[in-house]
Amino acid sequence: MAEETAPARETTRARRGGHGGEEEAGATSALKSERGTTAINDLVVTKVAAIAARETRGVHDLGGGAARAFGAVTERVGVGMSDERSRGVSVEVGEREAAVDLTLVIEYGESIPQVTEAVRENVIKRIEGITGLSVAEVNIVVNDLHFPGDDTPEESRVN
Amino acid sequence: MAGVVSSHAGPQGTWVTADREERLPGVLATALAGGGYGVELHLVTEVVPLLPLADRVRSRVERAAASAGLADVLGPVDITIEDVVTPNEVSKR
Repeated sequence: MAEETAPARETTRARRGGHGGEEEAGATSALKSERGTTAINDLVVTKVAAIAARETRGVHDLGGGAARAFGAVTERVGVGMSDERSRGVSVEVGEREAAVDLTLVIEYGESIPQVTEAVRENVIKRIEGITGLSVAEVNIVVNDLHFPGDDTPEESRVN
Repeated sequence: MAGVVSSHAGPQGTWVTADREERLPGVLATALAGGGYGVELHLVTEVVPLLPLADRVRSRVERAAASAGLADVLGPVDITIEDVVTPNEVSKR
């Protein structure tokens, strides 16, 4: 059911890691000046992208089916192992550029091309505005559709 | 300072400077080879434009050092934004 939309811009994929050797989770991008270095952790870019995607009309949720199911279980159990705000988002951050991969669930009835384009524009606007990084590409996978009655529990057939 | 929520001691709590009276999480001061001290700050901030915020923090550190008579020994002020939190999360803290 997944539909992948084209990247926003045809640019080279952002290089990994602002500091030498920091290519694992938690890597940072750095902007250097004589007065010191400003670095932004990958987690920050991930969260900004997730917030930007969620605030776009027509987006129901982020993440694939397994990630959402796991998130629902941990939420119900009260174990906050996975950060819900970064679910469904993967980023690569270079010294001056970032590339973003998103997995979305879209509301049934909304135009998928219009919603994905709106998400792409908002993600680029927010990341560039907040972090100062240039966004090289935003790749989006529409993983599922959400129907209006999906969240209401089925009524019991017996009293 | 507006926009800064807290400092961040790191995943293992190692980004800490131990003063005689208190511990300063998220702050490191390192003696430089050429003299003076470099300062490293690890911060959690609100979701605001981060580069201008980092510049304001850096300027405030420089002013504080100057007012303490330490302007000559202050080296670069390196700032890392480790995490951002939304207004809802700020109010829960």
